[in-house]
Amino acid sequence: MTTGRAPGGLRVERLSKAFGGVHAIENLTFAVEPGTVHSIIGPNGAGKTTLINLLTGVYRPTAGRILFEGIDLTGRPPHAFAVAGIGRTFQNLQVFFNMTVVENVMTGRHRLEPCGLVPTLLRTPALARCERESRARALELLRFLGLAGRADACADALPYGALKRLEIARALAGEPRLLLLDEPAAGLNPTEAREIDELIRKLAGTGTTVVLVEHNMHLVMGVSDRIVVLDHGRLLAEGTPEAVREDPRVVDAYLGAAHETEVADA
Amino acid sequence: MDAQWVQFVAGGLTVGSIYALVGLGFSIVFNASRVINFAQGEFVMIGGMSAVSLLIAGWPMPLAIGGAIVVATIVGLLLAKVAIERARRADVVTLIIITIGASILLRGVAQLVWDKSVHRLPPLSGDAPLQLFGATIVPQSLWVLGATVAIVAALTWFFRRTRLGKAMLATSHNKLAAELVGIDVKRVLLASFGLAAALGAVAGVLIAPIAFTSYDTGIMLGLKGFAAAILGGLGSFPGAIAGGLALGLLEGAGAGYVSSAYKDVIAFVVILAVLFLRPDGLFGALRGERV
Amino acid sequence: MDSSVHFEANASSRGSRTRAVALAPRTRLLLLLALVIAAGPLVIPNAYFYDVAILVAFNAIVCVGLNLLIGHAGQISLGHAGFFALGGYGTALLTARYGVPPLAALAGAIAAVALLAFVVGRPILKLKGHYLAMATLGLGIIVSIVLATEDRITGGPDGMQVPALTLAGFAVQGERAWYWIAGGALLATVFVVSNLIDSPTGRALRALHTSEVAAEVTGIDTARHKLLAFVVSASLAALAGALVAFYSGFVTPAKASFLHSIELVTMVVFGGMASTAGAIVGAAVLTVLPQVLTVLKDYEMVAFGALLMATMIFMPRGIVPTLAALFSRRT
Repeated sequence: MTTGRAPGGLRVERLSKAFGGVHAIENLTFAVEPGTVHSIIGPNGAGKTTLINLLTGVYRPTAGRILFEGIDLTGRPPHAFAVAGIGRTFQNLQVFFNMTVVENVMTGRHRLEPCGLVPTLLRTPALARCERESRARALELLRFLGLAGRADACADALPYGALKRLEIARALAGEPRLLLLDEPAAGLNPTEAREIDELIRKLAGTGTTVVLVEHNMHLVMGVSDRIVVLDHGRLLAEGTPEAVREDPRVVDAYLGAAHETEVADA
Repeated sequence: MDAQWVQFVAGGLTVGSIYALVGLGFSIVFNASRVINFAQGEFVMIGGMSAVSLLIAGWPMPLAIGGAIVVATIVGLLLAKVAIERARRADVVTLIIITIGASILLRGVAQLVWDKSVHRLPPLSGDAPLQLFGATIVPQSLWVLGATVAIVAALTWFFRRTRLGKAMLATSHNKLAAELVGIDVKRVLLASFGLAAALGAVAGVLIAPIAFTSYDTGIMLGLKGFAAAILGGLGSFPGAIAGGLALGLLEGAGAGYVSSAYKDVIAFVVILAVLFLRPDGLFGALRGERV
Repeated sequence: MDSSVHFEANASSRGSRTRAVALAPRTRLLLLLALVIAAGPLVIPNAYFYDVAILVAFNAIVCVGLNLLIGHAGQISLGHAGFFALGGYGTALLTARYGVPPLAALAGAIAAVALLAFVVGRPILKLKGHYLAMATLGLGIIVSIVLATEDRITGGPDGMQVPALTLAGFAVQGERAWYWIAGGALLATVFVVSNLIDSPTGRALRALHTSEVAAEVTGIDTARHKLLAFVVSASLAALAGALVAFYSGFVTPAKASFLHSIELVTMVVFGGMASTAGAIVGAAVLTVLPQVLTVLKDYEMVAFGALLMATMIFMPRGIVPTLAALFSRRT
């Protein structure tokens, strides 16, 4: 399988996660081709966020393997996943409210900036240069996401929509080859949701692999190359948007009849 | 060997009961306000010292004890009303520093109202030691153990059967939800401080005949009570009791079998060991973060 | 206005214009501090006040380090007096008992404390909140009891003598000399800690304070960073402890007491957490205040407690952040 070694390729094998007696994820196997946009959908409680947490090392699987670019990351701590090139945003925002907007994004670059203790304590010219570059790159990203005007504002001054974009900027700052977005459009109005749509397309265009958890079917159907449907922690269906949309099991468990979905998202 | 063992257990349980009562005070206040009340030990001191004063003033023992508990409760209510309620929107750390200020203030007042010397309350039923299972036990120890059992039973009834008690439990589980169903959270806060102060005073009155009392006995007792509450799991009432008794027994065993100088070291080493194995205390619920 | 993902041309130039004129906050603090220290001898009237200033400086060194741990990294330590005392005792033992030259003894004591903090820190920092507080508290108490009990090594409750500090063969004596040493040490501490805060490592610490999960997910090894903050703050406490030992000529176990640890945390919170200036102000006010209040004799404790309570009730974020917010609202 080519998914194995290619940059941004993810493979999940027989992945399971149980919390006591609750099987949040059961025996999940699928692959994400590099450079594609893969969406994960399913009713609430299906295990979507649990899956994201597993794919970023926040939860340890009770069984199965996670392979990223051919490397087995199973059981490693979350920062190891990040260092390997995986970035994510959170469903419940985890913005660093005790920092400014630009500092949030600069923090996202952490894995790219090895800095020794002595240069840090003495603030050597090399470190100062590193900081200037870091700030410049962060500002670029803020510009890309329309937040540059508030770069030096404290993060807690931003409205909800801006905070969601800030989290994306922070995740992008680490130059991830795989980006996991957990409900990026949740709580956004249709205009803002369309911008997220554009953003995801742009990212996919640059070769970043994107895995998206979303309820907004309009967004999902429009932007995805493939869709994974979860139900009660199990893989219900996997395929192209057209195939998934027509799949009777999916319609039954989640989507409802096709025309209902379109009316709801108009 | 047998008699010695009984001796240590009796001594340990006695001191442990006191720690349990103080620890309960910490957990009750923590549940209502997320605050660690560093003045909790001072309530113990106020209880003991007030009883001494009232007794000297001629009050009969039962009234002196009752009066001491009332004095401490009033101080607790004042602390809650004047300081904690006013600062309730502040960071938990700020509130803790306020209670630290309160403990210094109360010690300062105690120095003025009383003096710096050590006082003793006469024991409730005399000094004559009893022989039980081969060990020598002072009757006051039995009073301490008995009173603690009675108080725990009373508290259990209070939290399960009375409106105020149930309101306090509800608030400790979810403050916002409690407010939304109409519970007066301010009243719960006041009641918690009052109750914690009363418990502290009872502990002070019970232990004063054995361990004496002075203006600064609150410091170490407060510390041990806090340790007991943490050991058992902060916020858990059975935890505070188990933690207090365990701490008392550890100290007794440490003093008896190793050295009395190192009894506190042994106790704290064990607490550290327990925390490494169970980071939320013996009875603490293991909480996770939802992301 | 900001809801588009399109290019915003004006933002960056606005930012760079203001940046060219203003100094970084950490540079401003350093300059201000240097000015205050340099101006000191012009206003200090006698030896007693020099003594107070020196003690303020030593307390400030501990507080700046403790603030890094509590205010920035969001951890807690109720046992830092233990590190302070061990710095003093380590220096005392090395100089008095083993004849090690004073500066080497200072370095050795600090290194030993850093090692202890490193070893103890790994398991302890897995705890959170009040449990971490209890563990550090326990640690501090264990240190103070051991120091008081092992009298053959440590001189017991009465402590032990410390020989004078010698620099290049000359014994450092007198308040004036110590004033410059204390001031210099404080400046160096503020320089180093400010640099740490305004760096990738500093941002990593502040990040894990707010959300450990989010920090991990950006690649930050939170356990390693917490340990770093712990070791740095412990080392600074040891430095202050060693300097105090040389300055006063003796060490006692009381320096490791739980009450002293509480005092240190109070100074940090009182001055304002996550503010280096706050740590210095907190140390200054709470070192000077008891001296000022001795005029009240028996009422000293009552007054101190009342003032502490009142300040925290009316300035809940601490002195410096509250004052800073007041001034920024006017401008």
